Amino acid sequence: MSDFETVAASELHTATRGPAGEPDAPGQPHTMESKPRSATADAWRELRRKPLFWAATLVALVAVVMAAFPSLFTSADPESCALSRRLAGPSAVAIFGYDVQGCDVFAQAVYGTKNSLLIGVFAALLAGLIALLFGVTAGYFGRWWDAIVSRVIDIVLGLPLLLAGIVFMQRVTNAGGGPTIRIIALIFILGLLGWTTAARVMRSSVITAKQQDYVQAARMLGASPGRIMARHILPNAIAPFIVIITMALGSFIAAEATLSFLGVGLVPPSQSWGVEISEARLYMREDFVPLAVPATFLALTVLAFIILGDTIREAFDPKLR
Amino acid sequence: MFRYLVRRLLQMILVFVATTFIVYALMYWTSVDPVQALAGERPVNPTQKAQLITEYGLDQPFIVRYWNYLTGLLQGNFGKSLTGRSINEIIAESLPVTAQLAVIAILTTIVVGVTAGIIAAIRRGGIFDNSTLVFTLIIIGIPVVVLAPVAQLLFTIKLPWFPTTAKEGSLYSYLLPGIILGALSVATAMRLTRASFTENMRSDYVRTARSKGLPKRRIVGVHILRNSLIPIVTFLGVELGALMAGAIVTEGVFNVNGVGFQLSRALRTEDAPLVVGLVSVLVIIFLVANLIVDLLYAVLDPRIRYE
Repeated sequence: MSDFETVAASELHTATRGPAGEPDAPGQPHTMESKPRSATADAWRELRRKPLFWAATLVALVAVVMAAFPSLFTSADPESCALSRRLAGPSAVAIFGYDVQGCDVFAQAVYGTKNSLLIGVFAALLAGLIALLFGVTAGYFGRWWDAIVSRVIDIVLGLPLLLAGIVFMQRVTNAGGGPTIRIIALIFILGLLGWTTAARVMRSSVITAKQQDYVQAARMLGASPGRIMARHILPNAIAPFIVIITMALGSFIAAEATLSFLGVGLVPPSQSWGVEISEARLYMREDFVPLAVPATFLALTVLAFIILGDTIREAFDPKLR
Repeated sequence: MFRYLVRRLLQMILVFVATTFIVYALMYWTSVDPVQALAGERPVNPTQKAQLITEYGLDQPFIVRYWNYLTGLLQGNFGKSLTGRSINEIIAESLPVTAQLAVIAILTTIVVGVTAGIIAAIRRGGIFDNSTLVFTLIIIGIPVVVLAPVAQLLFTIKLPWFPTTAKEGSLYSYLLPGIILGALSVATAMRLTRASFTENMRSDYVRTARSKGLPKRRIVGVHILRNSLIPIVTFLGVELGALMAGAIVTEGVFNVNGVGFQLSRALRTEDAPLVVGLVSVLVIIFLVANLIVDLLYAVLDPRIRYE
């Protein structure tokens, strides 16, 4: 995930900055040369004028609101299903019609957002936390601790995420885990397997930052390792980390859908996009709308987070300006 | 070179032992009795049960069993699945199928991804460049669980160009699952090629070559391409592991009898020895691919020396 260095939309959009471009709006003082801007402010200026960034933010926000308040988007109950409505076409009540069980396709997809997003967000937080802890300490202390962490990363990388996820989740199934346990298990599995890339990035940026003069100065002034790491190294190494975690969030949502699709992630009656796709696939010859709706929701959400990460990375990368 | 190779091999052995140990422990640390799983719902005859337990070594402590498994592996013996079939036989049957899919996928990645990346880099900012960038972004965002069923729906049912499910031995029917498997890495490969090509196009040696009056084809095909290949080769090596995992979904959707298909079936039927065997093979492939990639660096770039 981390490897694709893209030179995407930045050139695309700098050209579109016409006379109507908003950076120097009337009434706003022209601060460009008067004060040196920080890297974050610079990146924010860059980000602000990209339509792609705003589109991705919008989709991500809609997904979050949908997860928190699904009833805002649909008044139908996703669990009220009637076989008499089997595969009924779109109507004013159900805009995408009904699936093979007679459940509202749109309502199911809306209510599926919660589990998919919940797992993605918490798995990304967990992965980020582990990556931060191991990456920063390995980079800062080096020596034997670095050697151990690097070997652990090698081992975890040796287990493909999906493969290990299937084996782990099969164990949870055997142990008879209920819906809540499955969600927690998915969060832990994805988090515990998905932290390696971020940790590597963190480690190398800490190693670079460690050599800087201001870190040496802080050390000579007697700052403790904890303070140096938190106050001096971390703020300067955090940008690539945020990018990777944002993208990991997208790929975790995709991984949850894949595991559910294979029947080892969430299982019905739990709702998630993966579950819906896997059920709708069985009768897609008859009616493909029940497959297309959750598939679109899933693809849009994953895309939004990946684009978000991509545009933030471009904004932070001065080489691409 | 030799020292580097030894160090890498030692590292590989560590990773291999640790990953197989994790999978082995997971498969046997389970509430389900493997003998009962084999018999299904039927009650098991105690004599039979005792015989099976000794046959599969289930009465020995865990570490001993793992040790026996490892030594068996070193002799090229993956053991026996719970159905009594030799795992070597199952692997020999399903691995070539997955390998065919993987070859189609990698070829798709190289032919489409790398070529498109090069064209995009040469014509930077043009229509081709911008449209492929948007297109690849969309492809990266679509998970294989969406791509595989939707492609099956579009290209086998709505437009019957390809068979819906793969037939044994028919390379044509493997084409669509293979392309889908490769589609995800096409996007990444294209962006990677474009980025590294663009960077190298600005370098001094390209300017020198150009001012010497070399034809453009030679500059692009020999000078830039070779120098841009390193990140692409790295990506392809790492991607092989992801490909094997992605094969589980693609093979399931298109009913291809490959490693992924066998693996999901073995998981459903609780066939622990078969799961461990198949995962071991996949991990070995992944590790060897990464080793080859590391060694290829020196071939591609003679400036890289291993100490």
